[in-house]
Amino acid sequence: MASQGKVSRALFPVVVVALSGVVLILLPLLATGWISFMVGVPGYGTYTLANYLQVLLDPFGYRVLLNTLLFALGSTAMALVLAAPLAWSVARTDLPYRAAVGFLLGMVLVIPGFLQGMGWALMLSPNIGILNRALIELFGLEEAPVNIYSLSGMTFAQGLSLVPPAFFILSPVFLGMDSSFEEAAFLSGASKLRTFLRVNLPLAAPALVAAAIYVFVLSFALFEVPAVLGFPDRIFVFSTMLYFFVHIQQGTLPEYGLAAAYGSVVMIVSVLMATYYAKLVKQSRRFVTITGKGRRGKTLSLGKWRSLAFSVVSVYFILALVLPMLVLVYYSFLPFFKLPSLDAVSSFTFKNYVNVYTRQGARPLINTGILITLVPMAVVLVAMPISWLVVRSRLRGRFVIDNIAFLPLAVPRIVLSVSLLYIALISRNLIPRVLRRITAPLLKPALFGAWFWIMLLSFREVTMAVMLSSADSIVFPAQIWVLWNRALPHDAAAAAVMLAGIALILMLVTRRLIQRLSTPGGF
Amino acid sequence: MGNLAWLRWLGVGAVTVAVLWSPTRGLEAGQANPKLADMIKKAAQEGEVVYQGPDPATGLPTDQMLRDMEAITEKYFGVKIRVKVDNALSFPASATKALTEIKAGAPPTFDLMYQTALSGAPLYKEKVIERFPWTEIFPHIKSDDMEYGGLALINQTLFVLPAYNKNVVKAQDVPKTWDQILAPKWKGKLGILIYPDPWLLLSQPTAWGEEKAFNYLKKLMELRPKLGRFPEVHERVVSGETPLAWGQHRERTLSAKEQSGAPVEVAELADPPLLWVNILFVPKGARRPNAAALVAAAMLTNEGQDHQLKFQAASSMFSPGTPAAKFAAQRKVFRPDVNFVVEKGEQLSKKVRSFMVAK
Amino acid sequence: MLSIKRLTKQFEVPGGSIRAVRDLDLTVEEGSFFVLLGPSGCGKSTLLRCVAGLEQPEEGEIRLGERLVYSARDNVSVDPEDREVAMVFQTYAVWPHMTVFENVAFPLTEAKKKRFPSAQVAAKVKEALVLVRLSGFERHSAATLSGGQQQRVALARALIREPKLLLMDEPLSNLDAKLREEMRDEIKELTRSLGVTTLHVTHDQIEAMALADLMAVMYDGKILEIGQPEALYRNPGNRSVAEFLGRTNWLSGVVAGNGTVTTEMGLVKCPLPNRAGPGSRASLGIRPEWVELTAEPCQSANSFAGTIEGRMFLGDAVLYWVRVGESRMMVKTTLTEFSIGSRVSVVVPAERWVVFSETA
Repeated sequence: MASQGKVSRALFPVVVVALSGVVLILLPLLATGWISFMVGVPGYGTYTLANYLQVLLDPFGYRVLLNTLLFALGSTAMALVLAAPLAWSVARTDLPYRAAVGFLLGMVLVIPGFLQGMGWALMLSPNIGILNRALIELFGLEEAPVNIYSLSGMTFAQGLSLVPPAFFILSPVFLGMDSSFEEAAFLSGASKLRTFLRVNLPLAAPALVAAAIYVFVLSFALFEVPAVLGFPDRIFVFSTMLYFFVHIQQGTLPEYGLAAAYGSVVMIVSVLMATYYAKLVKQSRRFVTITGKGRRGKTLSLGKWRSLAFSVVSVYFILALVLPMLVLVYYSFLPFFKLPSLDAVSSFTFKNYVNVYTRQGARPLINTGILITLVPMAVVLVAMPISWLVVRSRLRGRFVIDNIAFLPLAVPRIVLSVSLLYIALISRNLIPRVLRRITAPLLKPALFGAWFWIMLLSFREVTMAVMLSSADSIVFPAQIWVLWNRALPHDAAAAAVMLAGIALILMLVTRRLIQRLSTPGGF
Repeated sequence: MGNLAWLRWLGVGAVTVAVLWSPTRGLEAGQANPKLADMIKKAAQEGEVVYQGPDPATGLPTDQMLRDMEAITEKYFGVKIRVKVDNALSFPASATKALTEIKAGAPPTFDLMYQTALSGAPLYKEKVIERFPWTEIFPHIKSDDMEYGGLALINQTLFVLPAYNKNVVKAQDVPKTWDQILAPKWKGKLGILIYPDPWLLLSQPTAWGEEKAFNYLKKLMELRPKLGRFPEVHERVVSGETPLAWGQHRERTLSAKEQSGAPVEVAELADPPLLWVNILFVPKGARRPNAAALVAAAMLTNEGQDHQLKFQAASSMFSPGTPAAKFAAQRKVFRPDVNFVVEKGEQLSKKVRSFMVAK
Repeated sequence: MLSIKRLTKQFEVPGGSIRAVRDLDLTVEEGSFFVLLGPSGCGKSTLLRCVAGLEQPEEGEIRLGERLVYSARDNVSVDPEDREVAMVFQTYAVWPHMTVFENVAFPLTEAKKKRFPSAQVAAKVKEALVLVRLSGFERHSAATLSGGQQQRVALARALIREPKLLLMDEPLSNLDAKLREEMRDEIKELTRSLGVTTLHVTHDQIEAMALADLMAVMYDGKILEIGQPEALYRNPGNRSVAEFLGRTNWLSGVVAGNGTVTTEMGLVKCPLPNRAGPGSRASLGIRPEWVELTAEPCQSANSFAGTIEGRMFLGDAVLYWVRVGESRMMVKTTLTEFSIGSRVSVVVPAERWVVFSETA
């Protein structure tokens, strides 16, 4: 009994941090629920069910729901179909240059979604798309073969950019999977294919489904790509519809109530899916046996498939990174858009880069530096206790906490999934001595890993949050958004190229740091 | 501490006296007009304003825009007021924020607000705009310069006309009337604004009336135009994605053309252009109303209008001698009627929305 | 049944490579239970995995019966699923997404070769589960079983196809002590009754001796000695083997001739290696349980006077530490009457000593 009291006291700070994290996440969500029952001035209007009535009755809403489902399902499927074999190949096979894959995916993550969308628009717009033009000339076509301004177009572009989160969820799962499961199947006489179908696949299934749910919920709320590629042709998804509701209103206040009602519906669906997700994560953890001395899965030889696998991976990176990046760089040197030509090249200018600096000075740069250092720290500090509580404690209602942490998605969940796996390594009694002796050395690289990905995400995803703050605290990605909004897309492209450059350097430095920390004796 | 306090007060007094006695136009104005003198005195104590207004539309640095605003205010009224910008939210969102704060009994975040006549209408409707006797205090402000029945100052009027890419659109194809844009040849090549403003404006009995306006919108949507805000529509014209924009700010299009050499041109219709009226006002209960009023008034002076041209590529047609005034002198324009908007805005906005999303 | 010739396997590690198995030869007779014993990292598991086909050696050849399954020279390497060997893993590797029945039936239903009709599968699974004493667990999810039960499932799964060779990779090391002994005895019983040829890897010398018909002590990628457990225990070929197989008191001395060695304890009579001439140095080893203690002074050869310095009660025996002159000796006996400080005589029968020449 006494020892139990001791344990709870030791847990106290952990619980406090976790709960305050939960409150921070929960408050805005509760506010959303409240506003959805109101018309007029938010917080001072009259209470009504009219918003929900409109949600139920408006056929437009159902059309948008269908679009959103198709978009989310499509991009999730695409992301998983690419990410799962990729994560597996990197974790378990002799894929050439596999060490660079995580790194390149980090770069994909850094390019803001609306610039990725813009890159695709410039390549595959039916009227001016560079690739479309090339295809028309090459095959003597009547009209553009591909229209990126379509549901399938934006699903494609989004699917490509959702590969990194799916990959980073799956790769620790594949890395941690005990290879004796498949060896036992081989030694039972089962062929490689049968082993894959009857053993590897079912074992990975919970993790795959969990990753799918995660990416699905994420894509349900994504704004940037649908805004650039769907919005112009009135192909709305939930996020762009809400944007439309809040912005297209005159003479009266924006319909926050209606937007909140739609938001609440999405939220409830997310909670339901999160519950299922938590269950699956729990299940997949049981399958991933991490025995301290567990044998790291043997590196499988791809043999004759090696060059094919490498080609597929290369095509992905060409599509998701190289082409959009090339278009961005090209665009950033132009005074205004021209199709690639000698004339275009001769009009190249550094003006856009100079402008980025003269407009805002070094402030965004400095703020970005502060942000990418502090935000990951804060997130790791909040997410660690939460994930610990969820995974290791027997606290009642801990899965509720996990579900809540799931809601704001992107940032906390990525850490959760990274730290979950490593925390699973920790012995059951997480008391300081254990922490110091065993956990800390184990966690050192893991925490840095978590920090690294948050850094990348805060580099990019915090954009919207920062939009709500003032000019004093402007950071780089927000500045890109501002430039874009001010009809300065070339400056925005220049800023994005600079952002990618900074991210590249940061990632190289962090990787080196993680490597040094991971090797014994290093610190 | 107590011993030194009088020293500080002496310092503040000396500064105030120096400001009041310094030989500028502001002082003369102050001497001639006790209400202005009182406002300047209070403004000096307030010292700064939080300004909800856009970044420069011409690509110049925001910081420079703010320092110039301070300089013009100081030049005219002899008082140094620090202008801080807070423009993280969109116009409608800023209006909602201010309204929510005022309803809650708290002072609004913004001391000086920049809105369009339409986006600011909820504040006008809820009567939460600070009233100043503008024309009494400031001799350069006339009744024409005001919107919302004297509550807000008009700092810019923008003319909305079609814009086109002159490399793609042949001279003979450039539309000369609003109706010509409905020609089938523009199908898939047209960009339009997501804002309901043009349709509210055209629905006014003084313009086309509701029936004609929405008939037109319906036909327009059948051409499958690409939706966007001003910058996006502009960029698509420049890139040739949609070589014709149904409506763009005339002056800003021309300024962008001059700056980058982009192949854009404004279609000068024979029909009346739509007028976008931008206004400045002080929300009720603002912490620094006097400083805000001075900065707003300064924007309507000659130098203030030059400033608007330099940073926003726009001026007010009601300020004599400005490019906007010269342009408007030759023609009829469709001007928004705020009372019409307050009365029918909500209903018409929803109608516009349903037309725009119709498949 | 199994013959390994000149097998070498190395692993690439940062900054070089480790030779886990070095130029190793080994033969296992049909129907015998062969144990590889050695400390962790000695290469015994690697050797086992090479036999299973899970690791690819660099040199040598492996035959299962007459069948060549690996040969570096002839570039032969049969896939693990085609080697017709079964394996029990340290982590059990019982598939958590299947029931006990599905786990055990897997080799019958999913193997490349020779699938069985379902009636036969059911009968065989039932039989196998009876063997491992898990009858009635067919429908249980494998994920809900205890460690011992999982090990039984793994065993049933390995035996169900009646493999030519059963490989066991430290199957007992994750069980607690009592269960480990039970399982050990059951494995011995089972393999004997089925007559399956078994290659078993362990680092536990008691387990090794209990199970083995024949055992090999492995160290640093090489086999030090092969023999029957008792022979190896009584008469190890070198000091390292002796040390692996149990605790030993060691003395060092100089050969005095006439079958005696002068040590710090005094003159010891013992069997001498052939090449140990007078004046050469020798190590003398004696296991604690072969030393006798008496309370009375004893005049016979190889008896020494000593004092009890330490005592540890083990239940079925008592362990004493006895000071004899300059040295200290560990003695394991059923006699419980001595206490710390007691004066005793230590008697070591001459034939019990193991003696190795010390090369300078």
